[in-house]
Amino acid sequence: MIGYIIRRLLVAIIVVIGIAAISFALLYLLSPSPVYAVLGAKAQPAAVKSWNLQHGYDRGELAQFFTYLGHLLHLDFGYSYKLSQSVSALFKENAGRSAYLTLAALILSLVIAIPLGIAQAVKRNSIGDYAATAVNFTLYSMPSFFLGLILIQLFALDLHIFPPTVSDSITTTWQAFTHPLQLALPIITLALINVASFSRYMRSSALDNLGQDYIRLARAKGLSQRAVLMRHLLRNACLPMITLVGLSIPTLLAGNLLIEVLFNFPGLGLLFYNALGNEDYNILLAYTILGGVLTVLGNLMADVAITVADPRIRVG
Amino acid sequence: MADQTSSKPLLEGLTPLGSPDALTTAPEGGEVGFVASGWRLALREFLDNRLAVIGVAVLIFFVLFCFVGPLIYKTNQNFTNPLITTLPPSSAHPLGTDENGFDELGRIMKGGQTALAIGFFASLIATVIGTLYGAIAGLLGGLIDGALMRLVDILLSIPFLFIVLVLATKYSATVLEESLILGAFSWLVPARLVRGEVLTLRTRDFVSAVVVMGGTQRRLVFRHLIPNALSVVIVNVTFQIADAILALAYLGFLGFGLQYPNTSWGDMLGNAQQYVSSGYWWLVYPVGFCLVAVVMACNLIGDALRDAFDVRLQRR
Amino acid sequence: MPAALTVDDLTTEIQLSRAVVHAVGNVDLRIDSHETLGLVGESGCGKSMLGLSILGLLPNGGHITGGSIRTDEDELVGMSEKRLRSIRGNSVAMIFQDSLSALNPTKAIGEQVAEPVRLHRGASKKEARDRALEVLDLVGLPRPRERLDSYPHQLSGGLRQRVMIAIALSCEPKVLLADEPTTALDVTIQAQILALLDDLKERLGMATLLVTHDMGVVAGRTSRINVMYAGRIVESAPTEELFTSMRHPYTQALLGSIPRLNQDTRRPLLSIPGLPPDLTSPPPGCRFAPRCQFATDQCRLEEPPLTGADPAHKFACWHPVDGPAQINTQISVNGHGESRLKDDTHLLEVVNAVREFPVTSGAVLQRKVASVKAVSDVSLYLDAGETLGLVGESGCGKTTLGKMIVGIEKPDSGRIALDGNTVFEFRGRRLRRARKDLQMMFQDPYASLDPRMRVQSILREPLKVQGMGSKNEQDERVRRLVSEVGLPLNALERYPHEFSGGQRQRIALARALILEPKVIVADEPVSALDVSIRSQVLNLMKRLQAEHNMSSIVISHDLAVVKYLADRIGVMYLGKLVELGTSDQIYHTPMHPYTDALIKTVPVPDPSVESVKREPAIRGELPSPVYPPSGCRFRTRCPLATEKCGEEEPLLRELRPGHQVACHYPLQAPADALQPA
Repeated sequence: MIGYIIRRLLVAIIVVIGIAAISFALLYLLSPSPVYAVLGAKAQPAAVKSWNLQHGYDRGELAQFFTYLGHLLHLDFGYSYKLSQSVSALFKENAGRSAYLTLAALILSLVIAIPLGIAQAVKRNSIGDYAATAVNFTLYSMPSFFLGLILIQLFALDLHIFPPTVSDSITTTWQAFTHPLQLALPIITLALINVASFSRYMRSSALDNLGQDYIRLARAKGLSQRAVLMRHLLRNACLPMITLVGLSIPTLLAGNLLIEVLFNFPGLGLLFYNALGNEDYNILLAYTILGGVLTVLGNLMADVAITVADPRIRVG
Repeated sequence: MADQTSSKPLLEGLTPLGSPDALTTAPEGGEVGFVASGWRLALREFLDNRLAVIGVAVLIFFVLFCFVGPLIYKTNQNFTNPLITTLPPSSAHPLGTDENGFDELGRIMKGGQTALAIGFFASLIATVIGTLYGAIAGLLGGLIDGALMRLVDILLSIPFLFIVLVLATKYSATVLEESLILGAFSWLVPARLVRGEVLTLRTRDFVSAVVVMGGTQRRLVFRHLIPNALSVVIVNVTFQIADAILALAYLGFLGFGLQYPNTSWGDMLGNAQQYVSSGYWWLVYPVGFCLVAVVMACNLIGDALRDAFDVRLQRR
Repeated sequence: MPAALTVDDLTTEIQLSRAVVHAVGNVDLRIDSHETLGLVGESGCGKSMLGLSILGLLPNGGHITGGSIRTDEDELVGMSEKRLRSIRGNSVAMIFQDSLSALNPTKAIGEQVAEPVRLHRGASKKEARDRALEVLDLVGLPRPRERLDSYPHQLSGGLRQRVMIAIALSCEPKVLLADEPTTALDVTIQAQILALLDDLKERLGMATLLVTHDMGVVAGRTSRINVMYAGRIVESAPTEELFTSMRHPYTQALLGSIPRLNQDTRRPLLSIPGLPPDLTSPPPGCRFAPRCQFATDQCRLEEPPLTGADPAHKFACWHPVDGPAQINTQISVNGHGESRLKDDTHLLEVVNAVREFPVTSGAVLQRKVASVKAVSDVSLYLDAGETLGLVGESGCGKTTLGKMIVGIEKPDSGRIALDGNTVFEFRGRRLRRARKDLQMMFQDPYASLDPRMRVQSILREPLKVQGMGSKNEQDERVRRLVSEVGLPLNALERYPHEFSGGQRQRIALARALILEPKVIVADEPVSALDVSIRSQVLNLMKRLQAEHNMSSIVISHDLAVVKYLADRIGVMYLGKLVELGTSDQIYHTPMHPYTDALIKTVPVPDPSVESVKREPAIRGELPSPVYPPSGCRFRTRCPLATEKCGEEEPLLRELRPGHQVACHYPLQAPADALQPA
């Protein structure tokens, strides 16, 4: 097992380098140097040249890339000229809040999706199943911010239950945690979007398992429906979910971005958004690479988790 | 059923060879029931699915609405009119006007043209590239396949939205540009799908049969593998369109839209937040509804196609 | 004394979205304790539904619409779900066919065996675990204590089936429903499990319902048999009587269609034309009438009741038959001796063929950690006009060998020669042209035809590829071949999915024949087909053999099928060819202990033979082909094995003319002092 993890990590490192290379290449294509962002669009060529020389932007792409890689190894993601802070510092500041938002939404969505999917499979083709499928389908086809807007309109502006945006006074993760009402709408929105795809998958996985002989045998032992579902179906039907959640990291990050923008929640997503507008490419590059790393890690963890959970899959 | 009076009873063994009865009595293999040709069967299954038919109808409706509509319902979409900005719906303007004084209903039609166009082109690019790439990888196998798929893995690890947004900072002004950046990163999923399908098909006995009869690789690929892989491709195209339109919505919301006065549905939602808080619901919900409707229609069609193809292959 | 299980007039229906399946109709049966009742029929006849109905485990949309089911204490029809649950796994237990899918893959087997005990007996975890150990020992699971925490996929098929039996027995049921308990198992393992079930029945006094499609299985293990067709019981009789003096035409045809080991291979098998009826709209009158050659108008209008002068032997037929059918026609068999080439070269030669498949591990760098020794140094030959059969259980390598012969698998070493040419060393065009003479009929009728092509194109394709004949000539040949395999001409317009399994095999056979190859390899040609359809295809193959003077290789795990079709037989075990000889030699004077055991173990539809079989001829499990035993691979299960067998591998030697065996202690003495044993 350890050997397997190490081998996967080695592969992951290669993949991450690949991600860094591609991201860097794209960024270089768009903006070889932040000089214009710093000195202004109408800067003199001479000033441009000297600034570039001073900050190492005059060398060729490959050299710059390797320098960048070197920095990465020290977890130095460069400097944001617009915000006058190092990117790492900015990340540190915002990461906790974003993580809280995303994880809370993820947990909530699983708590809803898993029982829902199983219930749908058990009561297949009933009114409840059709209704749930219809709702899921609609949610699935909706841009996440649109759902957010509808919820804001309904619960914040019309019914005044939740605030329409996160108040500026919420600055730390702990504050976010202790003020659930503030975060309710963003978390619920993100969760609902996840529920749409998770419960579809769960329903399908539960259906597959329900048709299997081992469920029939469990019933033939005299177990009640509840016991069959809890003791036999649940674990087997959830196995594909492990893989699914691991693979959903990119979607979760994207959702996080949009929701933070919509609700004005000060996290990594909002940081990225502002960087887009400011053409603060160091932040953009760093976040893209971070996203890539998280995705690769997510895949790896999902693979390891499934080898632990499913005795049929053993590696090494 | 064998004609009882003219042939010897089966009890005495088969009708002797060479007798005319051997060919004229009903074949011992039994009659063959007429079902339908493969494609027609799939079509029938598809049409049986009422939701699928609704999906097709919705799609056709919107295509007509967006492209033919403006010919009937003519409005000013080019010159701002400060006098009639943000008016609520009235008899003159069924869906009100936006902040530039453009009639909203007309704006939706115009926005729909580009949204549908981009959705179509992006998915076309993605599907063509992805199918070729995946087919080549699946056919060549070995190290080349490994290398090609490694590249896909790396690109897939970069969150789609992030990289598209980064590119959009520079290239999002025209329909072509938006189609290209969306297509450029959407071909990864069809590539994986097609490769997987090709690999599965290659293990099937009917492929071995072609080898055994002395068939060339070319025949195998063009007469057998590609036609059988088509169903996967077709299903994927519909989902691609849905995803492209959603991505467009995200781009628009985050501020990356087409050059003015061009617009797409996504762009129209760019200021959705302010509209909602200012109470300009007619500028948000109708557009959103159209967008969700089209995406839902595509998803419905895709699901139904997938089910229809499965049924055909499984029918015994 | 009331019977342990009595079923009266049971009718079950399944509601589909658009139709109702009349799965079971007016079924009566009765099982006493210490008795095994056999329930035979083909797939779709409702026998499984009957078992599920008894326990109330019907699929969605299924319900019992009439009749009664009684154990010695309770009436099960109409019982509340709660009470039914207290009976399931408790006084009435069930075992299923596929042990891999019937056991929860993520739960240890000890836990699964203990579960009913905890449920019905209220046992604590420890008590249940002890009981599980007890039961696993009872069913003959070796080293049960170590196995308690194993997972199902870690056990072989035979062991898993024992686990399933253990689960069923854990609460000492009075009635055991066994639904195809051995169908998924190898022949030698099958015998062990059947003997186990018998033994347990004796010891525990259970009333057992043995549901199967295999007439050989019921011949020796049951005291009474019910024959089911299209949801109805068509005949019910004591076992011996059913086989010797059956009354229903279906029973007669069914028994006549099964090839037996002692069959006269010159006689065709009985075959039942057509297909079983669609149970959503069963025919009026007798359900077997459309396929019955004795059917009259009365049969088609009125359904015959289950009657009989002797209450122990009942049948449902207006025109019952009297005992087994007599087949008088003969198929002319070509004398293969004369067709042997003058200069004594064989048509097809396989010399020292080896094929191993690597077992890899590791996500990226697929390191080879072991290999599956699929085919290990096999040599054989085929002469013109003869049929060679390859028989063996799973993992013996027969399919891989077949694929090597037609060139789908490349041997790691050794060579394959057709007419003296090592064709698979050719390249490009020359190879493709040479392939014309080596064709294959694949095992799976559903996967071997391109679902997108019409039959016309499927059959024309080989001719087009080989460039044989003009378009008209090709079409003509296609038409001729379609008729020859017994399909109507309108089949040419259809797509594969419009045909039944048996019909698709005919198409596959036609495709293999269309190039008029020198050699055809048929890989498990009838294994995937229903019993009553098998004889149709077997007869067809037999007829074509005679007519075309075909040289072919027939691969099957079913010894009776192989013996019926083949002139010579090769027996394979774990990648090795252990015996090679004519069909008669193999059957009457087998030399290898494995061959002998196979012959003794294969269930024969003859109660007088089966009922004297008590102990299974082979013990033990099939070793893994990844780590085959050293020396003679059969030594771990061979009653004659000595140390020598583990040290020295026996080579294939010809001990009698045309009869080769690889064994240090062959069962027959060699003819004259050719090679001393």
